[in-house]
Amino acid sequence: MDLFIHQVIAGFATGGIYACMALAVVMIYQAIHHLNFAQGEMAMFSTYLGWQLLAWGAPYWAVFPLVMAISFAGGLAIERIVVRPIENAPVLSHVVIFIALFAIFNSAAGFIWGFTIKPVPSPFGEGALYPGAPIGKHQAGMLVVTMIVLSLLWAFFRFTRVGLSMRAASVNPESARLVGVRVSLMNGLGWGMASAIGALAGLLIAPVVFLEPNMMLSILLYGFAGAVLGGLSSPLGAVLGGFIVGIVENLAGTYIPVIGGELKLSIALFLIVAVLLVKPAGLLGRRTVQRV
Amino acid sequence: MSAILEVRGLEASYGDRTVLRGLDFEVAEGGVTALLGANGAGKTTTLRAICGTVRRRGEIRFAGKRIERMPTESIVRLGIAQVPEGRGTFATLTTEENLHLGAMTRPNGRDISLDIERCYSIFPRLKERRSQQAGTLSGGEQQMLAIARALMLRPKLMLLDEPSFGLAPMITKHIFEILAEVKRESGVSMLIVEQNASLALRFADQAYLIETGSIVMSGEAKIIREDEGVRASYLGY
Ligand SMILES: Nc1ncnc2c1ncn2[C@@H]1O[C@H](COP(=O)(O)OP(=O)(O)OP(=O)(O)O)[C@@H](O)[C@H]1O
Ligand SMILES: [Mg+2]
Repeated sequence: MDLFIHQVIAGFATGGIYACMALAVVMIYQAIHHLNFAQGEMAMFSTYLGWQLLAWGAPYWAVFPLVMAISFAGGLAIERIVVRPIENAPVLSHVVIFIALFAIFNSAAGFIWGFTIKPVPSPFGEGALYPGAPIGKHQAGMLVVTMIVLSLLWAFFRFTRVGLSMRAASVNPESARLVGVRVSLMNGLGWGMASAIGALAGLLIAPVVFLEPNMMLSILLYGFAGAVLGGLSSPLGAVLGGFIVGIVENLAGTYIPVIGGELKLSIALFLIVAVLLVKPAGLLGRRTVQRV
Repeated sequence: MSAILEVRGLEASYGDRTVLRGLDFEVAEGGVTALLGANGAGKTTTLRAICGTVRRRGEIRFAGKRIERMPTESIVRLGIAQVPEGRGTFATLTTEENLHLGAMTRPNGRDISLDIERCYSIFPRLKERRSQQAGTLSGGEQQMLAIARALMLRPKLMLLDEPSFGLAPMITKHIFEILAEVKRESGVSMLIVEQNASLALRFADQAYLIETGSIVMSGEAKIIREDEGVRASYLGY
């Protein structure tokens, strides 16, 4: 039983990271109705920026907000420069743009910083949280930070006018325009916020997975899985989905011996397919009638 | 009376398909103008053209100011509220959030909560459903919500697209009584599109009849209503 609880708690910690990626994916999906597969590479690039600032001697707690702010501006700029112009283009144009962004960020990071793996120190320290604790100091810190950020985001969407405008713009862009919401600005904000959240996830997970240009690949996959599981139309669902994926991944790796570490990803994805067969719109998603 | 809205030579198109072919009409300050016409005549497109949600050409003056080149968000800020065809509900947001959105262009403050209370006193049904997802309201309730949301702007001009659509006669009557009361109290001007011509002509001062993107007849609502010939050939009731 202890083992079970320990694994659930550890799953929560990584689940927080998946929840962030899932949320980032959903925020962009809500704005443009496409899955951004460059999301992980954007987050990876932000993480390198953070690593660079740390290497130059900046204090960890200054690097965090600074990198998130830079990523916000970067996400906004990407939306303005490459996504907005193809707003009404067919799906394939979006796919091509995302592949291009993916390749650009991946090779730029490799070109600037090299392809060798870099260790990243944890701001929370090494070792177990306390002797015999189920999780390490870093995982505990990760969990606390993601919980705080996710709660702040929830409050932002729930209680602020900008948050309400962003939700309105994604639920019904035409009506949003008719009440005076600047829908395209809201989409830009969505991209900015998504890339800042991705940066947060990257910075937090870097001490665990090490820094290298492909570090976010599997994390983005888990994020996608969480988003789809929770429902692409529901940010809350995406966060929930991310946590579930983290926990399931951990439990499967522990209790199903043949799976071990290697097949964890497949078992998580398998479970998700099973859920989607029963609830096609995801756990909290709404099936929407396609507008014409 | 002077005109709050003056439209000259209005054209609009979807892609390369022209739908409005040079409309001229006006809405008097504090008055009600009705746009009538068969399905597909271009009534909804006319309202979209005024708010700039469809590509348009021609001259649109609101309170003396040219607005045909402004983006929708700026037009709304001038005080033009639209109750769109199909009600335009923010389906996954609550009733109260929908109302807050109506006032999104106004400075945040106590006024807004007071106006929400006022909307609830006009439509008590909405108050009962204030924290319910708006998409789960009945058709009539959603129509009330669309009107209340438009009122939250404190508009100078309301554009109403078929407020009676899909409603039982009793509810339709109720909604028109409320519109009349709103007009009496706040002096807001209205441009109203209606399928139900007899209802619209009783409510409006001025009426225009549109056929395939052109105005084929216009005049005082009272006179059109009493003209047997017009009724038989155009309005079919
Ligand atoms: N989004 C669109 N894309 C292309 N054509 C459109 C679009 N919306 C309307 N149309 C066309 O424009 C013409 C006018 O449509 P509009 O909706 O303005 O008519 P309406 O008078 O409001 O009709 P109804 O009484 O049925 O609501 C129609 O022929 C319609 O097919
Ligand atoms: Mg119409």
